[in-house]
Amino acid sequence: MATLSQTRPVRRPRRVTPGAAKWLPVLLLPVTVGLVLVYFSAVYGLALGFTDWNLISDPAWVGTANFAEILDDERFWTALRNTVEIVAVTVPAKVAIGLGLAILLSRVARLSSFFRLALFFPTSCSVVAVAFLWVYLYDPNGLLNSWLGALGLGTVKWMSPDHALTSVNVMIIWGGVGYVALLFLAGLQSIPAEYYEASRLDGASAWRQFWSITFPLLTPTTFFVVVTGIIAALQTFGEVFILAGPMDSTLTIMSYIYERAFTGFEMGYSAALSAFLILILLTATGAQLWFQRKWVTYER
Amino acid sequence: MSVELDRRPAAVTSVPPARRGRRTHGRARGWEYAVLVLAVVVILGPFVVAALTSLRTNADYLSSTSVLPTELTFSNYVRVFDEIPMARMILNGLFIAVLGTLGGLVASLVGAFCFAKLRFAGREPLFGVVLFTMLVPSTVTLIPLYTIIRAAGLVDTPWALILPLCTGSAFAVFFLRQHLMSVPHEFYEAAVLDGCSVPGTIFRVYLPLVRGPLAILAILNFLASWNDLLGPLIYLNTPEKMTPTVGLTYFRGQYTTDFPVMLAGSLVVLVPTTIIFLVFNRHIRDGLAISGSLK
Repeated sequence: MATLSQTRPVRRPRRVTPGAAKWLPVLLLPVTVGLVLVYFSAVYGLALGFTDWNLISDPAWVGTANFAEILDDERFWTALRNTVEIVAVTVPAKVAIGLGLAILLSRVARLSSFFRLALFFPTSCSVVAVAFLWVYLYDPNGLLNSWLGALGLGTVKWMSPDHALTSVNVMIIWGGVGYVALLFLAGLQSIPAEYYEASRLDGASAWRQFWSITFPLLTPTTFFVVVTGIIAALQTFGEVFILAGPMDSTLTIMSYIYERAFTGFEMGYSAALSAFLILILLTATGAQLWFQRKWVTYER
Repeated sequence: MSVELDRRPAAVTSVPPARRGRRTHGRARGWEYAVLVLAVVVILGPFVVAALTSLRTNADYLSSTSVLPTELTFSNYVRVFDEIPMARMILNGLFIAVLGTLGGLVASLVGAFCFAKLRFAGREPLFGVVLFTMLVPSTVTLIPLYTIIRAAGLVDTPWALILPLCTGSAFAVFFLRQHLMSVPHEFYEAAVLDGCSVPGTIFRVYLPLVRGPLAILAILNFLASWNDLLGPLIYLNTPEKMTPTVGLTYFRGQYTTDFPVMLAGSLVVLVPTTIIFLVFNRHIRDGLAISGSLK
């Protein structure tokens, strides 16, 4: 960058600004503290994973014992299975329903801003407050069952071990779909109308238009939704902290880390669990960045 | 350390997607309206039935399967403030969210200014290191940060939640830097010529020019802090120091739950964020479209 300004013949490069040098360390201090905190935490957290520490006695080095224990830990595998199921169900569902709603939103003129506002509303809400709404809806004697009963359909044990995770997934999709729809709507509105007009002249059906124009040109949005959605879903915590099913049926990796770290105060073991989750997060994100060239279409 | 002005041509970056005129790809038919109305009912329905239930007594709720209350009562809202120190919790939540948001914005703004406008040795590598932290999931700092804050004696004080926010965020630094770079350099020169100090230049000259991006960040950060569950859960213990979001969990009974009170509490917690949402929903949408999450 220095060469850039020096090659400009018109003005001579400015001398050192006397005031700025003095202030620079102060101005950069907060950001630098944040940086050090993140990188130190990464190293320190990994190191903690090799210790046994209950916060009271000194940390004891135990080598790879924690990691070996995790591989034999039935509850870790349950948490991993549940978390993967949340990712596998909620992310595709949010994409499919969100895209469908976005297409409908792009076609309506009247009430359009009301629809958008209403669908987007849960995004601003506290997960805890929203999850309590669903605790109420899913209660065995709650609203959903009384309606099903009134329709003569019998009742569902929404939060039984068999159904709890599905019920949680429904809530997550419900809360996230409006945000995804708005992202897709912005993508749709940036597709030039000429593409549709030209293809219509060539006799393309609406179905063909969707797969040949809409879907390819929306792949950058889809990619963004999928990447951020997977990262968020892998760290699901608040939803299952409130709307918790019996017998670990909704245990996620994050809620398992929370339980071991902050109710059991097993800092070493939970740091090792965190290391596993971070590895999964980085692998998932890296894999998607790698595979995006196979399916994401960027204009120009 | 030698510092001089950066004369790079200003990079023009308009981050929020440009809104083109509304385009309808076809005329919507009746069934399309019907599907959207159904979607709105599904999304807003739980809030409406929760509001109705919060206005009835528990006995009324338990005795009738109808959604409509037989008689209206505000007693549940009174109980929300009587049974837990909800007023105190709301003040705590506002204190943490406002101070944390302000501290984070100031830190990010001055950091972004350095990366956008000042020239110093190691600037590009340092900025790269800042950017890389955007890829680091928040799970990385969860346990190490807890042990640090515990060692510092800050557990069960609001500072445990405020101070970590005051280091700014990589996303905010990146976002503000983009906008600061598009501000012509003559602003800085004029301010310095007039004898304005560097902080004075940042806060009096540049801050007003990036009001829009700052507003987006402020709203997102406030929502994230107010809605945060894990932080207060880990760091705060005493009910008088708790935030309202976590305070709600006190209403969940071990065996039975008084739903009308619990729902009244939930709706109280939703009031501030709903006001912000109704006023600033465009900011929220534009900000989330870039950052990807509220965290």
